[in-house]
Amino acid sequence: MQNDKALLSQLTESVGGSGDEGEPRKILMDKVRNLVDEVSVDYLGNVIMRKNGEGLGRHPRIMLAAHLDEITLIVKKIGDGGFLRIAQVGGFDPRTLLGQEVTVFGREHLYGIIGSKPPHLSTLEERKKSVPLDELFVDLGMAEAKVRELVRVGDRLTIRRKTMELAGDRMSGKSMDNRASVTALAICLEQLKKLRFQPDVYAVATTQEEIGAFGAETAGFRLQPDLAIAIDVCHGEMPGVEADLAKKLGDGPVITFGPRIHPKLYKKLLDTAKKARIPFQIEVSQGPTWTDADNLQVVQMGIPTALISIPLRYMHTSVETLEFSDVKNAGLLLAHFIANLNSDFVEELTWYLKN
Amino acid sequence: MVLKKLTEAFGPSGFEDEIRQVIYEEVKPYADHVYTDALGSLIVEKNPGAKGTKILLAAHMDEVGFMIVNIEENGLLRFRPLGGVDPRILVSKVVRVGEKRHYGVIGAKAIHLQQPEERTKPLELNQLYIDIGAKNREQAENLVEIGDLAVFATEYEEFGDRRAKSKSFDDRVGCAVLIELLKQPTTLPLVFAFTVQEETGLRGAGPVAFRVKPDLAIVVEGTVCFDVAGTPSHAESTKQGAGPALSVVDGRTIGHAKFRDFIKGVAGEEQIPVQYRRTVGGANDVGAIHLTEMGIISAGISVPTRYIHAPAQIIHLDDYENTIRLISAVLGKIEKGGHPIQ
Amino acid sequence: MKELIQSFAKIPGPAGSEAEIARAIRTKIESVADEVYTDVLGNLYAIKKPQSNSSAITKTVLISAHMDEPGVSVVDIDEDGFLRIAPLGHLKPSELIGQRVQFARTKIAGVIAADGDVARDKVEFPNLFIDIAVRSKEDAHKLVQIGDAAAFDYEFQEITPRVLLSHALDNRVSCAVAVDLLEKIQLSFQLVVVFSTQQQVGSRGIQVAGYRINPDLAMVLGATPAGDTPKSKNIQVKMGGGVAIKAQDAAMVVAPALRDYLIQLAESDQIPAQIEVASTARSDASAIQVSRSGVPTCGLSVPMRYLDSPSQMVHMDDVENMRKLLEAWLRSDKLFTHFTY
Repeated sequence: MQNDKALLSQLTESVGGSGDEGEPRKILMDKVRNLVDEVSVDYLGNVIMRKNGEGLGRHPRIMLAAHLDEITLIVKKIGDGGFLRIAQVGGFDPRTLLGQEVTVFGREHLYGIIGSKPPHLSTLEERKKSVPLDELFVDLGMAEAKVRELVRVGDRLTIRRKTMELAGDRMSGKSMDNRASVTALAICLEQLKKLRFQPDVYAVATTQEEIGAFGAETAGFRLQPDLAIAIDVCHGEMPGVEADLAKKLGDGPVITFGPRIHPKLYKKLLDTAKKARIPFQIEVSQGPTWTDADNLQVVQMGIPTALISIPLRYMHTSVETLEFSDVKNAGLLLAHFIANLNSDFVEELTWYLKN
Repeated sequence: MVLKKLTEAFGPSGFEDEIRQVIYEEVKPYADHVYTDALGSLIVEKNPGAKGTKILLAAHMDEVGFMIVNIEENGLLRFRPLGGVDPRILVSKVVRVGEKRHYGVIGAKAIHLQQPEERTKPLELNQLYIDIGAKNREQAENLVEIGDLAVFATEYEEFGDRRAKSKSFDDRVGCAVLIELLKQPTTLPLVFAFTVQEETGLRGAGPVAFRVKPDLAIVVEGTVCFDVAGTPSHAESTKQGAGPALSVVDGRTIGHAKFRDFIKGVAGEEQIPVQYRRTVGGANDVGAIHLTEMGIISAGISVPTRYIHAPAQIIHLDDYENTIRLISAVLGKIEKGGHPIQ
Repeated sequence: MKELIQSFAKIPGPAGSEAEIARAIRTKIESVADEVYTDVLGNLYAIKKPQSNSSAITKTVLISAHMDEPGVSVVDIDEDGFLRIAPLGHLKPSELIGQRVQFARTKIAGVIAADGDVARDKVEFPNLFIDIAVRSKEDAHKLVQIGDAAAFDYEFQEITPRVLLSHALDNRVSCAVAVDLLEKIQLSFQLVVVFSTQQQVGSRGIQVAGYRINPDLAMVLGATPAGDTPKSKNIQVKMGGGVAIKAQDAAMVVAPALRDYLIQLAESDQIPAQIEVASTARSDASAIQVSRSGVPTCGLSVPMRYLDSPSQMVHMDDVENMRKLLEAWLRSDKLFTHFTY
């Protein structure tokens, strides 16, 4: 457990924006190398971790997808005075950026602050409105010439944030979305060492989810699995959010029901959780889930797809907060699901008719 | 009556089990091979492996509907739509809910209890609920559970000048057209696909096209029509009684001009009235199909449907019959003359 | 090159109606490419096989330049012969009033105007029409079919000998660069140039072209907005400041290895270059990148002033630098090895 928490801290304190996931990729690969039969990286940077099933006959192919990337910012212009103008890679709430400390990944790692106009100098009118991204700037505290030497357009930056252990089993930091699920993948692979299972497992840490789930889509095309499960985060319960849109922290991983989800996979996940006595919650969706699952479902001739989520408060900020037991239980649920899977079940997935 | 059977069947986007089974029973006697895919689309093959132009005929079997997302203390059900529904049309309509198809009514505060300014504002989704008659949460939970689906409870009826009304003509009328076409003799290798999840983003059709790999595709739709008094021609999209509507350009497709011209030519030869769909708004499964793999020559042919996505939709039965005649003639011409584009 | 750009820019090619511009490009490349063909979506392909003395085809590089431009499509004809239209691409209805257009298929000219009972800032597409100076629906039908599309019609101008002004410079400039490349280059691997269609409505043409070619590596040639005009948005790229190497656009991120390789090549060959971070502009790059199992995709863009208008401005220095860096990239020794993880 402590080990897994350490992995989550390590992953969340590394920086890997969409399309630039090198740092967390390395941490993950070092961690799982001994847990699986093969680790490979494809063109889009997806980490594909293969663990072979056992037994004769056809092994069902299952793909697990947890995205490795996080939302970051990018330098768009070096303005007068060396102040940096920035754009999104993914979707921060711009209101949460004001006054944050950042690291700019230039020729060296640079300390910066997202500047804000002090209240003394702003008009009443200005204070009523939030500051749009295009008016934000990063102050590196150095002369323009030096900035131009060390930073170029296209360099990434993100908020500096140490991952914290909060009261009880809760943790907070940046990029819990979705390193929590990547950690759950690692926990699942560890569990599989203790279990017997038939399917060939392709656990994939996918890239570029935050800008369109491109990694999952292309990895799905390459692997052509019989079924796929995406692991992501969902909104944690908090005041002012409708009950069906947010789930409780610590009450277990969330299993999604809805048009993007294969009904038999949904049911099998529920049965697995009940049998293995893993706590779980249910979430209903009516269309897009905004996760890798959406893209995976329609790859090639279509892939039966399911979604497991970890409840998380304050999504897309630098203080994303979760309860670690949900991460652990997501990993356990995946492992038990795999152990209960056989080729008969997989063959039934494309048959919907009553004769 | 296939239109009645199809439109009254239950099948919100992503949950097409009942309508799929209804269509399956209808097509079984005429099909050489029937199967479903990973998303649940129903695929019916006629003359598989035969020589000639392989044509995919597609109609989506899903409809707009609702999902129960919460059960209140007082037994009322909170819901959210599947597919695009204008919340303003929902109040005081009747729905069927859940596996048991319980009746439910969509209620709102009576006019007597509203403040004058409330009366001019449309009701938003979070002010609406479905009432199935349950006294409290406990009683409601015995009848439905969170995640249960609902659709409008409208019944099929013919009325007026050759008009029919029901729910879900979008796109059960297309499904009915396909079933009638399937009954006709042909030597062409035809694939009839009843697709899923069109209403939540053209989801089912792409995987079907990837599997089928047709030479040509025709999508049959029930499309938007607002030919009511005072609307200029270009704003009505289509007109009832003026024949099937050929798609030109919509939100997801710029139509294939040569294929459209070919279809229009056949209509001329056979003296079948046709019109163009005169709006860019909306989209249909052509959007997904024509970009599959290396691209597929596709056309959209629609039956003008008044009040699509609303509880009571209207079609003109002449348009329905002419759509069957037109596609039948198009297939006949391709059977004789081969692929029309090369 | 300038003449080539001019000859391409004057041909109307709204999204979905690229047959004419494709024909003009085809005439230029037919003799220099080993194979030329089109597909269902109207994409034009030019294949250049490896030099004869090299071994079997092992690698394929795809270069794409979209041919289409924004335009309008006729969806209905009024009783009095006015043409009702729908947009092809991101166009603001109010900005179209008074614009001159030309039909791609027939070259008929017209002007866009609006219903008289709507305030200019409230105008939506159903309020707009094209006036082609006919008196009846019947007369209009003799000249125009439903589905015909028109593009802006403005004269090509050389503001200075080095600065061009025209509509459709996005992306005919890139088409010209690609044609010039095809004329002059011979490589040891297979080169496929796709002149793609329907980019303006969401990169539809390149989606099927990328699937067909399934390349090992792809380069997208396009245009990016320049930020060197008064009070412009926060955009670093300047017209005349060098070819722009894509780091990010509104729909995709270029892998750092691919981007940095281009930056290094520009530095070592002393080709003026800048870096593109365009948070509002889209390109074909995103659609190629997600083709099949994924394709390593990068991009070069010409900085363009007034990109979202019919009066687009480019500097020939930037065009020539795009051409130079493109060739340097194709000839570089680590072309197929610099991006593996």
